[in-house]
Amino acid sequence: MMEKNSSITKFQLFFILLESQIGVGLLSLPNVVQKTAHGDGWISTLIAGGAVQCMLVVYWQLLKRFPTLIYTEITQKILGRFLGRLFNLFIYMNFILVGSLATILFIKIINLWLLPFTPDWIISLLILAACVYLTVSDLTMIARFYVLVSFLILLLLLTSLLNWFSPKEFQYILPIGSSGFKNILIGSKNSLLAMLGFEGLLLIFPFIIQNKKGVLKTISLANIFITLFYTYFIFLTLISFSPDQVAQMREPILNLLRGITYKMVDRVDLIFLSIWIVPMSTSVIAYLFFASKSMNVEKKTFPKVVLLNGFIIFLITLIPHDDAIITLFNNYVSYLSYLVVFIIPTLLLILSFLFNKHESSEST
Amino acid sequence: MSFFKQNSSLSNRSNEEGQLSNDIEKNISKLQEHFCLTEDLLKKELIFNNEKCVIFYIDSMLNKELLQSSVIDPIIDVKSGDIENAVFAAELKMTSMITEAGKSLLDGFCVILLENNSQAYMASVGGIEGRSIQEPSNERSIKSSHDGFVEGFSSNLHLLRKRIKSPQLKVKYFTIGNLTQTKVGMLYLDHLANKELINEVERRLTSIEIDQLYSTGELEDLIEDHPFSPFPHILATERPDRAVSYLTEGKITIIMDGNPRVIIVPITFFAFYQTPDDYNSRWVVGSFFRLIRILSFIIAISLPAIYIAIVSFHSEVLPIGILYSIKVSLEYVPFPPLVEALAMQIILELLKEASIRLPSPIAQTIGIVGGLVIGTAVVDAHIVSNMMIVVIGFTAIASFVAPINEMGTSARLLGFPTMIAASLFGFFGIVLVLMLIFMHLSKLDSFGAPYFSPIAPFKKEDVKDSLLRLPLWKMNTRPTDAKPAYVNQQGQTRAWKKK
Repeated sequence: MMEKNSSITKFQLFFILLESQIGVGLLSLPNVVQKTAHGDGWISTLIAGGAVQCMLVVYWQLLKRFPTLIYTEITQKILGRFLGRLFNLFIYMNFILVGSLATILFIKIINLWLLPFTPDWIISLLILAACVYLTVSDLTMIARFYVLVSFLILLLLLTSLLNWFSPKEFQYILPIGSSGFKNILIGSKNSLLAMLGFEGLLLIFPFIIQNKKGVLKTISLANIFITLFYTYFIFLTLISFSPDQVAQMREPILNLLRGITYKMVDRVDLIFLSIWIVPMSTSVIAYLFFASKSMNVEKKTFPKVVLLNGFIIFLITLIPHDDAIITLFNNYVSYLSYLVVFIIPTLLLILSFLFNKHESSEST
Repeated sequence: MSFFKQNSSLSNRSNEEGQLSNDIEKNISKLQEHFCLTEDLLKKELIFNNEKCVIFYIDSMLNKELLQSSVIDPIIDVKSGDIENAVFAAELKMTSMITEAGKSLLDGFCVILLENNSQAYMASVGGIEGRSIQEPSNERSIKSSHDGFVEGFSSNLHLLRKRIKSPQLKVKYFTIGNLTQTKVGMLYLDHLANKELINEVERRLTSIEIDQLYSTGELEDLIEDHPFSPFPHILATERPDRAVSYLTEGKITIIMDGNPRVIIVPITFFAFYQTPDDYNSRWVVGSFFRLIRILSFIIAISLPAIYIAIVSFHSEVLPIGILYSIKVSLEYVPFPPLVEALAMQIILELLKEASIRLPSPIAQTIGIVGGLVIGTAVVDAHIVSNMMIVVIGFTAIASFVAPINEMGTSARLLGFPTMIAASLFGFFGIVLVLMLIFMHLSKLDSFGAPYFSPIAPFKKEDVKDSLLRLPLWKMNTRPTDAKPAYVNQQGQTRAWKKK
């Protein structure tokens, strides 16, 4: 009766990807993208979505060759013990650092909007304690929770519809393509943080039950959903506020809702942000889980590893974070992410083609 | 541990010399010693086949009229022959063990000892009638059947058998408790219930080593999965119609002798918010009430917390008009909102407890004194604000909505940590606590079945009879959380419409 093996369905995979990707990044996304791409920011996310889609195909090809291994096991299999370990260290660091960055931004938003006088470390401790509580359990239970809270994403979509009643100006995005191709590409690059999370597929693929045939369809659907979701919100922001306004707003999505008032509720944005705490936490949970999983530990020691990683992220969030440091941190994390998310999987795929390695072939 | 083992073996002490012999006098004294020479072990001496024949029974454990007419009278009438043919009893057993005979005596049998016979005959002569069947007072319903379980094991079994007249309904008996020897029965539909589930429940029931077991609540403690969870994850009900509906979902029912509450495993969260009334209303009405009840769970946990958070942290959420009237009512109150809320919640719990313990005519007085006098006086004295009374009252009502009382109480209890978090961290605290609660709900399982199903994990097919109550002809498959052997439960139900 007890389901000992942790397994997820393709339906749950869709929502795991959704919840890992959508989180703190969304709230500031329009501002980040608009910095370079200006009125064409919405094209940037479409391009970013296209890039992610290409990577998903690469992942798919790689994972098809090693259906029961996770990312960090594949590296060891293809690159050998030593080099594999080295790469695994990068992978682990990537997940820990991206998780820390997400937590730091999360704390920052809570501090700015909800609790201006509460010390950061208390907020950080509370968030991470809650995240560790869920992460120590099986992937199955994490998946259950993710599916449960996914309706909050729907809630954001519905709330955003209310915003359509306020005046819109389409001229802000015209003429299309005026920012130049290079700037649009830089915008895509900047939207990466909001897109990250899909690489988790490399770590959860072996746990998918049912036949693995439709997985590519599922992950593509998830990617299409997220790309359109982001594009919609950037588009909505761009036509709601003038370029100067967007540049000054830290979290334009919250400002979108701030304009809405009713007889019963004055600040929809505050209520919305409170609810958005959950999707922001699910991203942290996802990274905590990926980082712990990437350490290739046995099932018994997994909870301890999660606790340790939670503590490491907590320590990282203690580093004082003003905007300059966050930007710097963000830059370094981006480079690491390029390596782990784009370069290593592609390299692994090429090598596995060259040496014709499969799961069954003996490791060297 | 050794102490416990010593105690447990006490009950089997007489095993070595427990054999009956041909000497009737010896047998009589052995049996009397087995019962520590108790005075309610009664003895009736007769002559059968011109030999001595002794009937033992325990006063109060059997029906004396029946004993007279079906055992004593026939023996006197027949005088000689075979004792098995002479006695009229529904059940006649033989044994040569003292302990076996002793156990039967306690179950309401009489024991017949014959001279020159090393076998004891045990005849069942009916038990004592218990309380009559009436509607359970803690699970009332308007439109469903009005009978409820009682203390007697066989009456309860009868109530279930009467509703499922199927040969597949199977009962397994267990005896738990070295001293109390409590009879426990496990019921399930043999072809429907999951085999692994049956084995698991059996394993848990047989592994219990205990001296005394009085109530179903204690049994729940012994077999539940997560003792530290605030949520009940074993359903105890006094309604036979409810128990039957779960039996037909492939779940397992455990009846315990001497208890009107019957345990059902595995169970989901949403089962605590269903009532048999839902099926007797039209489906729209039933679904509406189910959603309202789920809403009541959220309100019971979070409403006071939301009020505290708004008043002490995020007053900008409310427009100026409403904010003004709240702040005016708060003006003369010297306490922080958390203290107000905690005090009112505790007063409410006290009132509730007091009115349960008192006889019902006085309980009404408590209602008036508590509700009206204290309620208005507390506001007039500026100890608690008007708005807080409204909030707490609303919360209490919301928590009483839960058809199974335990769940409402759990929700009200969970309100306390939420309130404290709200007073410390505002909305952030509330969301964090709620998130933890829902994480906990997604992590829980009851006997291997996910507790928060069909929402987490999401099962589209099961929503029709848990969160909602769709029309019967839509429910072609039964709920799958107990992993029944087959899911189809009906064929064409509205075929007449096709013509």
